[in-house]
Amino acid sequence: MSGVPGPGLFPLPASPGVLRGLELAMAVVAAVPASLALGWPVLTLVAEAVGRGGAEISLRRLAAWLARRTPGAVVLAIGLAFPPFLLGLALYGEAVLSAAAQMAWLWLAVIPLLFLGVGSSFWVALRRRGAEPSTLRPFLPDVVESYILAFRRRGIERAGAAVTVLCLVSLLGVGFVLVAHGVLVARPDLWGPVAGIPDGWGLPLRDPQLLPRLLFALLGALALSGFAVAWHGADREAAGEAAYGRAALRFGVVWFGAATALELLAAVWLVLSLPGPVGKAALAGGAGSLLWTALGAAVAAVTLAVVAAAAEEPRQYVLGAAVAVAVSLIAETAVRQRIRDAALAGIPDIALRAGMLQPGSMMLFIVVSVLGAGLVAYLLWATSGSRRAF
Amino acid sequence: MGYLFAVACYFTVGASLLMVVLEHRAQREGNQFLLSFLQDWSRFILLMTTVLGLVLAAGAWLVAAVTEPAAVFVLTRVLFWVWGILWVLAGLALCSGLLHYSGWGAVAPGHHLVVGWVMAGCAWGSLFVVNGILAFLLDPGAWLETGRLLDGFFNATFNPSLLVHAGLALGIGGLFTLVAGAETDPPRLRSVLVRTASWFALAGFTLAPVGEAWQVAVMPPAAREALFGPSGHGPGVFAIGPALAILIVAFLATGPLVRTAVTPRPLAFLLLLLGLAAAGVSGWSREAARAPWVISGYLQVNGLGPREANAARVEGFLRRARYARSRTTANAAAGEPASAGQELFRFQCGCCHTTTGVRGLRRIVQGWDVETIDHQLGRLEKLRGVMPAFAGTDAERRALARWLASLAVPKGGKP
Repeated sequence: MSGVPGPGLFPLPASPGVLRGLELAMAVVAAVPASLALGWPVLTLVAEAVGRGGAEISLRRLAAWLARRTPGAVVLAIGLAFPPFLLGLALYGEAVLSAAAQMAWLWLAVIPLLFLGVGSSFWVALRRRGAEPSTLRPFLPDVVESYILAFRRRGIERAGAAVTVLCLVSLLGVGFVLVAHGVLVARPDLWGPVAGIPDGWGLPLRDPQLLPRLLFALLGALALSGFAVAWHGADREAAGEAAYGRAALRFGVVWFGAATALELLAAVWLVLSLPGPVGKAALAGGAGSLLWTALGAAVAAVTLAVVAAAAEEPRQYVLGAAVAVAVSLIAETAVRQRIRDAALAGIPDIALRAGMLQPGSMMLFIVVSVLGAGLVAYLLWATSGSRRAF
Repeated sequence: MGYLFAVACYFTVGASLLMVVLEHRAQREGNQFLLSFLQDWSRFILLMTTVLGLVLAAGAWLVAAVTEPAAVFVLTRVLFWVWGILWVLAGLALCSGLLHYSGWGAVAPGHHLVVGWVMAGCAWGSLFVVNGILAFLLDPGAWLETGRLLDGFFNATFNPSLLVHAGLALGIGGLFTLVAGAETDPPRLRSVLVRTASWFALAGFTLAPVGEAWQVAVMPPAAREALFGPSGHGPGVFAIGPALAILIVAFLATGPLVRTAVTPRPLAFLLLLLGLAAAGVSGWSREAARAPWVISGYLQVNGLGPREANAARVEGFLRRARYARSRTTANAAAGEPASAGQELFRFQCGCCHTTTGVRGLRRIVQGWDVETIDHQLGRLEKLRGVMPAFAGTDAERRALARWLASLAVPKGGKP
């Protein structure tokens, strides 16, 4: 007699509570680089355009800083997207996979879009003039290779701006597909051929949630990106680069404040667009408290950021705003989790079966994770001590 | 996509170790030429790891979610914590790779070297875990009885498979570095690069065929039958891999290793192409040995386990398929070769076959009548040894046969 259940019955690898807690934590962590990857190219283009037009050298330098860090954000966004995806598969595999199959061609289009997004972000960050010899030469045509390497401190120039637009469009495409997938996950009535959608071309274009969800995601990305710039500005100002730091701080706070204000409006639209029972679940009981917490924390964060932009010592206010942003992000993610649960509540096959716990491999994962966290701390300590300021 | 991803992984694992070994040597000797080369070379490693490796890793999951949803669902739950461990290790390799690249000239040399070792160590740790997953898929061993994951992970094929992957990582990493190092200046730098890269490649392509042979010796008989048996692809294709490895070793031993200063880049490129072909054959052999299973003995490529397939033969497949448009074969029996057969094709054939494109069934069934197709469907598992048996009732099999026959193009006309 086999001790292993059949494929259709394989239970969860841990209790639903543990997995849902992990999903919440990892979704919050993943949201940060994903937002930066989507928002920073926009801010790069605006900073470059404003800096070029108004001869504001600080903003062009900010554009260079943003462009240089965008590849790291994109790489982290892809890497950190894996745990929420894996947890989503484990918890709601049927929903995730059915929605993916329904929009298969767009789902697969994410791959070339990622190639374009990642490749172009690196292209902008590493390009250079001239054709100095390098180890890339044997593997790439000269015309490609000659644009790759060290970065200049001033601006991204016209070619860099053009490629940043390509990067932005690609990543927006990825964002659109993932948001549309999220909408489909919450629409079990559209799964499978009963919906009458041609194979692989299902897209919830007429779903009232699509547009508010897209706006919410995009504005959230811009808000978080703006906040990261404000943080960078406050940091630089404290390090003695007053003019540049202040310009970056103000630029970041303007984007953070404006995008957050619009995001709050999108959030209201999103809640109103939810189907009746799902909307009620999002506003009732604990979910309602979480929603108000998210909104309140967002308002507090913007207030603190605005105060920071006017203050002589902005760091403490930015730090306070960061705490408020974190609270808002956690609460908002928890609300989204509840909304999805409410949307899938009537689907009996989504029932979460915890049967075959895997304590040995779970312990090993925890040990590796703790060691990994220690290693990351060491790496940051070892590489930050003597690192250049820019 | 799987092949490109494998190449990117082999390169990252092998080249990162080679780079850190060379950096250690350069720091010890104060070799500025070598340090400059490595600073430049680390950029290529970073780009290969991120632009190619990371995106292809994401792409592999995206493709599998659409083409093999049942396998993805099962593998997610069965190997959940193993994926987690792999993610931690790969993430550490990626982070340390970014820090290593951006740390040249900005971080104290001793710390920079440690960051490099962390990167290489985590990349090799990732290879170790990936190897366990692949070995589990080929031979879940006692896991099928005990349900203990470690029984499946450390099965009989684990060690030989590790030897294969480690060998290919050393080999591919060494050959890429050889291409970059050939024809560099000054000659002293070239000599160091060519010799070290050649030793890596030589060691790798010596280990890989040994591992391949060992793996064949210990793999389950069914897998060996799938690979070499009369219904499989025969030993000819499998032998290409070791033959290419021997060729590479012979080239390296008589060329770059003895004439380090005059290794032409075209020769290095040729060796790299041979190495990439060897890696491709190795991956193909592993897949062929596993066919038609995703997890040997547990889950087939059509998303059914043995128990589910048997139940479908008794109760009918369409009755059990949640998203089937048609639940009966009534219309097919009435002479309409429509929905039931098409649905069965989508569920049971569509994971590997299309109608007109890749492995197009219209071409395969050309000239066959319904009876012939029905007969072949009844013995799918014996045809080429890589297909699962049809899982459904006799009526469902005939419905599928009827629909497949309708695909055939009559002479001089359209279907």
